[in-house]
Amino acid sequence: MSLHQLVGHGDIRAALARANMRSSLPSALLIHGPRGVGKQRLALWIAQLVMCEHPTDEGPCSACTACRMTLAVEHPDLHWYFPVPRPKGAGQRLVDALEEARGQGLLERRNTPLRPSYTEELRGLYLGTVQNIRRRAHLRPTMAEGQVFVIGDAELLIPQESSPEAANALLKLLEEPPGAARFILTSSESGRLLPTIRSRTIPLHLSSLPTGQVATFLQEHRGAAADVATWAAKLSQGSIGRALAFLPDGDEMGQLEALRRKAFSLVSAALAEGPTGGYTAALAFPASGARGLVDLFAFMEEWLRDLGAVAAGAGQSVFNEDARPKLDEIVSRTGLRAPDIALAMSQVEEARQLALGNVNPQLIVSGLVRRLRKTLVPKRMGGVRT
Amino acid sequence: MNFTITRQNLHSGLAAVSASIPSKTTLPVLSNILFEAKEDGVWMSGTDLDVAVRVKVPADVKEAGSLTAPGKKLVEITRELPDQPVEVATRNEQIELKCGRSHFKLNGLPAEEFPTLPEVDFSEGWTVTGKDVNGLIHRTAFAVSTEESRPILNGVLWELRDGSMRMVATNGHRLARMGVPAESKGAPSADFIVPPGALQQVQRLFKDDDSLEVARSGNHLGFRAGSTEVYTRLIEGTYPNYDQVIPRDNDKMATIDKKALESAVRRMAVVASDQTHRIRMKFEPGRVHLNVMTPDLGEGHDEIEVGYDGEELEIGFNANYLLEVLRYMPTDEVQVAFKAPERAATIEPVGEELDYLCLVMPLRLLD
Repeated sequence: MSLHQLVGHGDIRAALARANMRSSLPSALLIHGPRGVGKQRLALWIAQLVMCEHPTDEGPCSACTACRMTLAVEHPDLHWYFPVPRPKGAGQRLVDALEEARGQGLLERRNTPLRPSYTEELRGLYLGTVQNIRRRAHLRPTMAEGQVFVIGDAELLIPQESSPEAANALLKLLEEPPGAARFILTSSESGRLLPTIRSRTIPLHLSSLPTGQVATFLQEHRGAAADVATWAAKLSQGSIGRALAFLPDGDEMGQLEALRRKAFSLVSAALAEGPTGGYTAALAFPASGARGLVDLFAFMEEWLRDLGAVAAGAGQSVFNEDARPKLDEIVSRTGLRAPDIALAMSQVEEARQLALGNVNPQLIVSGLVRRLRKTLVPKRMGGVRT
Repeated sequence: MNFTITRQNLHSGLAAVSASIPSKTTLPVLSNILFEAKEDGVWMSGTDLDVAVRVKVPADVKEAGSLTAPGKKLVEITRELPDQPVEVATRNEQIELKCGRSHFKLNGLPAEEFPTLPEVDFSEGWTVTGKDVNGLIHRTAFAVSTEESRPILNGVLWELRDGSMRMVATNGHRLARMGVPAESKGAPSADFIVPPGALQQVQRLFKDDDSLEVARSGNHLGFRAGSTEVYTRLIEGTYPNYDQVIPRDNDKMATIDKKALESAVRRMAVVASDQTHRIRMKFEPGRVHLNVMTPDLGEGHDEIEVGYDGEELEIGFNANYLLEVLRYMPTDEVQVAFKAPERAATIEPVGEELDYLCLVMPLRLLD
């Protein structure tokens, strides 16, 4: 199998190709931007560019041996690292197990190059991962002039709050790459990277793709029907990776669509009659693995934003266009006010921070729903809003 | 590709190459051995990307060609085959083996997917004997650091000069250095930092009476003797100036029977702390006292006779480092040289003209 086609970002690619011809590509890059817009794919394209035997101003030739091996993710000097679930073990055994897990991940990526940018698994880039990178980086390259290390979702170098060991271990390599080694980090939450990592890399921002381009890609490469492709493209907000996760998988709804609905049910629980909605909703979550809530809260923020838009009379700008009638009905039934919704959004953000700190998910959810309820549904006394 | 080969040759070729195949890999093709049938025989290659092994074995080649096939499975199959000629052929991306009534077909991968092995020009390099290289590796590689915090120390420094060569390895606490004469074919002096895994392959594949050609090409170092070749990636960077830490002014010398010292240190090590492995050695004329005291465990004392006539001196060592160094000393007697309790001690063989020196850093004695 070969990597899927890189979509969009033509201007950035042209600038990178020109920089490569001038030998002025930085040795440490940080590609950041929304999730699923092709950051890791662009990083692999850069790897192909610098290892290509006949590069031009327009990019790699895609025909030489180095290009073919890179496109098959089989070039011995290309090392692609991405977050993996933490295997059991300690010391050298853990380091080996992490490399094995990466091997398994690479196999999956070779077999299915086009993958949704969402997973429910708890993953990270651990100290053992960086130890593997460090060992490889100090060996001279096999075929190319220099090795290229692509580190995807680099914000997970801090797998949970107060665990910056892996990120710290990478600093020295970024500052003084051994030989001609290059490091390309990607992140959709670059604010969560250590400032010392950000300061050692040259940032490169990737924007969202036009919705039309995403829809066309889904039709051409996933055989999605035009209306489904347009629906998923709009919800993805210009991200192919996210759009793929909205598409139905056989008879089952897409993972992100399921999450979006779950987020809506939490917002509904906060607006429902009766005070026990939060507790009932919380019981549907496990007692550990709070990081899994981060994406859920992003959807809750979207729903609240849409309710705010409708409440402020700007219903035409909602993200969740397919739910517009439902949003109208909620606002007219509950009399939601935009300022309350703005406050509720800040409460979701606070819950998101708790989730990053690995607090019990059930406690976070029940507390959040209770607070939202207090904010959005003020007590009524004798029909007078207090 | 089509060739007939004796089971013995096929098995010896596969056995030589298969040790370089990684048991787990991120590149599926690395689990395979590359077969290249040419007019003069069949080349087999295997690599884990750090080290590559290539051997040529005699075979009756009917049709030239190349393919990669699963290495471990081929070794297992060949081991069990009857002692008869083996006919090897490829059909599309499958390799077929026929031997007597046994017949196997294994799925392979195209040769183009196999990483290109480095091209090394052996005409400009060094010629060394297998005995010299194996000796250097044996007596130095044990001292390589296994900690990844300083990757440069994870390799053996190999200094090749006009007329001599030297290997050095250290982990910062103990060091081993050995030199031997060597013949250069006009190649300039060079320093390489070689991963110990590659040197293990060299030790395994080349015999003492082999004449070894060694040459460098860019990022790789190549070894060749007869129809066996080993290539290794080198470690990036500059090796620390080890010469600075080797003391020149150690004026107190003790000549000690190696076996007696080894067994005394081993006895003391039993009671030494699991963390520091610290033992205390008190030298006095004609005698060394070995002491160990571990607060939660107890204490031990031993003494052996030594050739020493200097002033009394007490010095601490990590017993494990001391034992390791003694294990590789080639003579029955060793000379331990030191100056003060906080200065590095050196250990050298006695009785043989060998350029071999080990250094052990002392441990601080608290009281």
